[in-house]
Amino acid sequence: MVEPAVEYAGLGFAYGADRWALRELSTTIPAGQLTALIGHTGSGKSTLMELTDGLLLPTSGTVTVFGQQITAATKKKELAPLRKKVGFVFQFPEHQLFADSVLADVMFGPQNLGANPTSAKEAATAALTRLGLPAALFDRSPFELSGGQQRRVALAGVLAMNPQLLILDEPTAGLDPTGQAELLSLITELKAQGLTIIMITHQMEQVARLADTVRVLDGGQLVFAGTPADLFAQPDLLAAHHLTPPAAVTFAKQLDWAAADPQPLTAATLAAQLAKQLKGGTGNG
Amino acid sequence: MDNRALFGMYFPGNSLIHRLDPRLKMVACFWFVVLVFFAHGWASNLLLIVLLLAVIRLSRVVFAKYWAGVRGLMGVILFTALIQALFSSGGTVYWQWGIMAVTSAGLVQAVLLMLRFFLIITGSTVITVTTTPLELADAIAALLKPLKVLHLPVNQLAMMLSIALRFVPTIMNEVTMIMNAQRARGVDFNSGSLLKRAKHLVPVLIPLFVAAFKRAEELAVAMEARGYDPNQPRTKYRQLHWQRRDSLALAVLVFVTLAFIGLRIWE
Ligand SMILES: Nc1ncnc2c1ncn2[C@@H]1O[C@H](COP(=O)(O)OP(=O)(O)OP(=O)(O)O)[C@@H](O)[C@H]1O
Ligand SMILES: [Mg+2]
Repeated sequence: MVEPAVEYAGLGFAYGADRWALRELSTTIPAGQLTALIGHTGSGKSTLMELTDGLLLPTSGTVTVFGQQITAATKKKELAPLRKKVGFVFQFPEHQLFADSVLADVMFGPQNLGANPTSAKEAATAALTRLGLPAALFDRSPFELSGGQQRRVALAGVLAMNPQLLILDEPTAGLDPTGQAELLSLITELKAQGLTIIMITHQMEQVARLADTVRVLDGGQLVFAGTPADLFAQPDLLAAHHLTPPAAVTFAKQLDWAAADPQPLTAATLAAQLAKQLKGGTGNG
Repeated sequence: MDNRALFGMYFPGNSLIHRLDPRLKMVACFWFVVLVFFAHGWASNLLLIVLLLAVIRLSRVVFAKYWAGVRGLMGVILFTALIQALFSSGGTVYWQWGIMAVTSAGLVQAVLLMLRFFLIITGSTVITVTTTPLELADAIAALLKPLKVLHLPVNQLAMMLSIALRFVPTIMNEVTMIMNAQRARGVDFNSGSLLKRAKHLVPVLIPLFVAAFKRAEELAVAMEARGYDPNQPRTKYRQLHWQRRDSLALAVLVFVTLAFIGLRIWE
């Protein structure tokens, strides 16, 4: 069993008097893996992540992040060390850019955490390079960059704080297909470097391709925790929670392709398996 | 998110007051404030209190809603009343220290002042509690219409008002979002010196303005693409209709005013 990075126990959260966004939620997020968090719109995904970064405090239950426990009674001051460990990339993070230059914007986070200008600059340069942003852009205004570049700068702004856990809220929303593919391969690289990642997404293809484990929320409650393969093998569960399986899964199913083993989750594995069968001439589809 | 979240005020309902024409409500509220300023004696104030209580009763809105409006300004009210009580002269002197004195006339003045605050705040709360922001915008636009003879761009003003109303909740949402994003980047909005706190507004305001300008541009393009011409007369989807109950309410207001004048002469 992998050591959990985050542990939720009996977690509940209400916006105002009786508007529960999360109820009695208990699960863990394994360290060093990529966990996909999915669910219908309004199911509480963003709320859960805001609780994980201490932007909200639980109404009931606890959140434990790398050993630090957060409850309804946690003081605001105690949250500073938490923010150091958790990096939160919001949906459309380019909306948070504000400084005159790309470099200054990325340095903002480390400086808030108390780094001196020299080490902040080092961290910023490292993060920008890690995300493949050319040095020629460092002194440009972030507002002069393309949408995809802006998103990388925003992501660098969080990575420069050197988090152990990275939260991504729909990181590919609004990007063109190339930008999406680039960002996804970046995320894969970050995971390979040992970062724990939680990614909120509405795209099941991404879940199939990237996720080690999946958590599904519906109406503020956890309805599934397991691997993508387990999840996509349960069409009834998916339908009950307004989720559509990846195209590859649907396709294999339409072929009535029970022989496929393992069940293909992505277009790439599906194509490979099909090719193998067609060449071998033993296809039953 | 809807406008309610922003104004935090509108209390959905279907009472007589809710259904009154918003134009009438606005004019009546203005008139009520004027009367409050002319009320000096106990009798005329009592008349206004009774009128207000009757309206509150008719609005069928929980009293806590009205109280919330007053509570927000309680500090200002108490402070003003205290100044009034300490620095007025006349009547019996109860206590004196330097230029400060508590006198019977001062106390009466302070109580009247507080009453005036309560009446005005609660009176205007009746409007915000029983009228949606959209209805209010329509009413303002309708009431501004006569100013057209002065070449005031009334149509454009009305359009600006409704656009502003439409986007206030959006922008409030955006503020929350940006603040959260910067908090996640280590900004602590709740501590530090005044200067430091002012500095923390920069990473919130700049993205906010950038987004607002972008949105304004997009909206302008979208409006022009659909043929919006600011100088053409516009028809309205939501029409305001004057009903019998509005005439009735107006009559009540006239009678109250007459009674008020009578009381003022008698006082
Ligand atoms: N600031 C808020 N005030 C009141 N209710 C809120 C607030 N933010 C979210 N909610 C409510 O909490 C519930 C969960 O919202 P949340 O934003 O966590 O959903 P989500 O799963 O992230 O949805 P999406 O996929 O659309 O981003 C929703 O019912 C929403 O209406
Ligand atoms: Mg969300």
